[in-house]
Amino acid sequence: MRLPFWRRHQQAELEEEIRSHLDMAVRERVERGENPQEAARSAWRQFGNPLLVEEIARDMWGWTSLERLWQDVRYGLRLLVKEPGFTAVVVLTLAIGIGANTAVFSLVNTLILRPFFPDIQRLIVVQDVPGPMRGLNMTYKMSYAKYQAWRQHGEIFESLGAMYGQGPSLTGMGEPERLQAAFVSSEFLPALGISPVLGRGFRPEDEPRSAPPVVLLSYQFWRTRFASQKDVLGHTLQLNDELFTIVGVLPEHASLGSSFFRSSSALSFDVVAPLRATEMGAGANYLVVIGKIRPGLSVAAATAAIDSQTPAVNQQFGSDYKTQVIPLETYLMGDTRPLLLVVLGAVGVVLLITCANTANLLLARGAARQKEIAVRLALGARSLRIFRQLLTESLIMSLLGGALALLFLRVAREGLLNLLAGRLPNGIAIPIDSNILLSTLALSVVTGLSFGVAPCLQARNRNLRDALGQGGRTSRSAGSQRVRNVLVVAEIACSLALLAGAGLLMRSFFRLLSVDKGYSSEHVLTLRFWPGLSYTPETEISYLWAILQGTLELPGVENVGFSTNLPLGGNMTTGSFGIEGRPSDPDNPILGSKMLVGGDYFRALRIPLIAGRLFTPQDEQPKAPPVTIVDQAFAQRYFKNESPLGKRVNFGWGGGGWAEIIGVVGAVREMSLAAEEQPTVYAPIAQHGSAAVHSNIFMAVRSGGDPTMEAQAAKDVIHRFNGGQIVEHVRTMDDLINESVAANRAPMWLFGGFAAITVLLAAIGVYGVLSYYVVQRGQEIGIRMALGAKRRDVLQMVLGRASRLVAAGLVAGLLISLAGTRALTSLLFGTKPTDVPTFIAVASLLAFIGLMASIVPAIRATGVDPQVVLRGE
Amino acid sequence: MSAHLAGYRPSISSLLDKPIAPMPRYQNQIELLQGTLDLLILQTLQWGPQHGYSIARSINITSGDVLEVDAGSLYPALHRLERQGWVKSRWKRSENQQRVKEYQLTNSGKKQLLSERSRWETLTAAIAGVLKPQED
Repeated sequence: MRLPFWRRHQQAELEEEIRSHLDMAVRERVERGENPQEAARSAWRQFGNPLLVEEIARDMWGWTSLERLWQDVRYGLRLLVKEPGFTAVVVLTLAIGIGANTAVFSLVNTLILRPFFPDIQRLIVVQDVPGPMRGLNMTYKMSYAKYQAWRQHGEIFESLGAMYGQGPSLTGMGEPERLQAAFVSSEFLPALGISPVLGRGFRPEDEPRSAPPVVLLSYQFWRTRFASQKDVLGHTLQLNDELFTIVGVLPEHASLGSSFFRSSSALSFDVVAPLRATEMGAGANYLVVIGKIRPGLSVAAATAAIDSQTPAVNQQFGSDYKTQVIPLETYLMGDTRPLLLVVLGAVGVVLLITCANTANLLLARGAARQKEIAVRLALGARSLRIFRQLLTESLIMSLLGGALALLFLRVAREGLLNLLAGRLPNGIAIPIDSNILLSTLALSVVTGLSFGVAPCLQARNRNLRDALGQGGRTSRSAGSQRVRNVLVVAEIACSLALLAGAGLLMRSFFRLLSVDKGYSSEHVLTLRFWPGLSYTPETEISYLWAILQGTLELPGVENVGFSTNLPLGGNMTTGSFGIEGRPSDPDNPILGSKMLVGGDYFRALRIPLIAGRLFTPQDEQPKAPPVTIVDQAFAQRYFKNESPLGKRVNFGWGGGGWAEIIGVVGAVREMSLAAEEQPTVYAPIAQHGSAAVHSNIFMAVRSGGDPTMEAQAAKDVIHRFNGGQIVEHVRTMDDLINESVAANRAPMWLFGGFAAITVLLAAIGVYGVLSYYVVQRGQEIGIRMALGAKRRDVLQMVLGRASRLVAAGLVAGLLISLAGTRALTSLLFGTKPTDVPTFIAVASLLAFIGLMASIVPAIRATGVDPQVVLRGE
Repeated sequence: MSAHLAGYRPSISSLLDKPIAPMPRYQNQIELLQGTLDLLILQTLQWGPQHGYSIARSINITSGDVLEVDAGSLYPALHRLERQGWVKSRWKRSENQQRVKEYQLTNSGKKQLLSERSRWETLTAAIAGVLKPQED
């Protein structure tokens, strides 16, 4: 054994001293006349052997704590190696528990505890909202003109930035492709604390239309397209046929992406260009406006100031909208925070159960080590030493688990980020850095100590005589047994809670999928394209018409339609309408979605016609009498007791004037499966061409067979009429639906995973406790069988015990669940947190599993041979 | 006739040896013997610095071969005395050029010796008083 150097020196000196002592003793004996060999032998015999030195040293200096630790570690490792199965189970479950917790905790730390923009508490989103709609949702935006007006209010805002997103086409660098671009005002990036790592940001001089076009690259884009070359500044990019000069590169984790539009698509921006006044009408609300409040002003005070200034701003535009203020953090993360906290809670529960399970297993093993510990105590070991050793064993296991967890951590992190992708700000990463390593270590130690306490407490209640004597089998450490029972009951209760959560989320998910959407999504292919500014309203309409004819000719195609938005397409346009004969009431504006459609849109999606008729080719002429179709939601809200047919509305998008309502169709869930149907008014594309040229055009193709077969053919048809047309988002309607519920899938999988782990652990716990019970009661069972009890009675006894445990666990679990599932309410759709069928199903499942876990010990109990038992150990 | 002196804690070698006289069983007896060994060592060192072996031989000789101190008791005792500052040690070369560690009484050691001696004398007088045949 290698000693620390200072001890080595001392021990060497002592050795020398004793050796010379012995030498002198031998010499003296020889002088007295003894035979030298005899003298040596007797001297050595008298004064012991080499071990004497160590013994004396130990007497003098005691064990160093390092020696002790090393002894403990070696002993612990030997024990672990001797029982590989046990060790594997424990270390594996610990790894999962610790790994999951560390991953979630670092995510929470990154998101909640560390703000991703500096001074984030001073950043607010300012929105222009029709009065009564305030607070209903957070996707409202502002128009350019209004933004300019608010920009002047330096008494409220230190700076006011605006942004919008677009997908310009990049040409001149290989194949034409669509990029994601953000257009921001010059103060936007500085307000968020984002400053370029290369080159410069935007200045007010870049904003006027006459200024030379400049662009910033995102870090990713710079790395993948320009190989991170430092000389990229000054090169140009061709976007939408205009040359932009590259003036800077943004930092790596700039968190700029579609999360600013509260879109769950998790897209990051490739490039950033300056915001300019565009030709989109003054009334078009498309800007996300973010302001940095003056230091010293609270959000409440700023909100009040904004409210008081709103009438003055409105005056300039003759509008009657209100202003809505949302703190940026809530805007970006509002939906995610409850989910994260729930996940954190769940994963904490998993770790607790892991600890309980491990404690249970250790207690079971501890019972078998009674003799060993008793002997050691009898030989004079101090109980503190024994505790230290037991704790060391526990810590070794938990540290091994932690080390294994580090290996899993990469996977866990990727999985977690993927699952939550739609709900997190873009560019969020969980760095594997010293923080994570430290927290894994800390968690391992804490875990090890917490379950390591159990065998220590067990070792304390040691009755030596019982343990050493023959009656070791019958000693009934009742306290320990009770602890183990309580632990198992707790495990079952927690598993039930998590299982209930998973069950509720599953039920909610399927309810969501089976909601009545108002349309049929099977066999429908969808795609999106933007014809581009080179088209005039007339040429665009004939372009679309040609595509329509061409696609209809494809084999298997039944209906083809165009629109400016698809259900779940994310392109909703809302606005106000006028109804002829009704005076406009600023407090009760007539609001709804506006959609331009062409071709056979309604039939392609099987949206039912309720009254009147659909658009015909005659309506789709620019000079035809203006017509519209409303949906049932619109009709019910604004035409309660009368038929809307024949009335006239002012569509107000890409062409004013009164249009006659010629039909009513069924309402459709456009925004999301969960949100209720919005009142919608449809108008023919042909009659509103000037709006259509600025819009993305969606195409829906219904075919008899597999819609993906038509994808290439449809693209070819389009390219026949415009070779350079970029066609994107080619997917089936069903795919769209799947994507839209992806954010709901995440919590379901997470909870399902956790529930599975805890159920497994609980099953192991039940198995373990019952096995021990059978071993403990071995004598009793043997006696009973000798007295005439049948196998059935023994089975009953063991299973009875099992069912009492499981029942207690279920009851406790139900109580916990009923209290706890309330936290999931925000994540559930159409399902109450106390949904009875779910609870019944889940409880039955757990009861069944508990029963399965008890069968093997029960059967083993019936195998007890009474003769062996009665004869004694 | 020789009896072994027990040391600080019963070392295994002394446990395994069969003592001629039965080992005293009481806790304070052992403490008495332990403190006594310290006293003997201090006393021996009064006559000048010596190394461990010679201390043991000296005690053996002056006690008339009654007391034999084994290495397992001697060195822990010496270490204990050194730790308490009553002796100090240094390495020297002996007559035949062998390296030996020599122990020497310190000033506080001298004081300790005096106080231990007086305690011992008080104790032995007390015991003698009890053992004295009663005057009738």
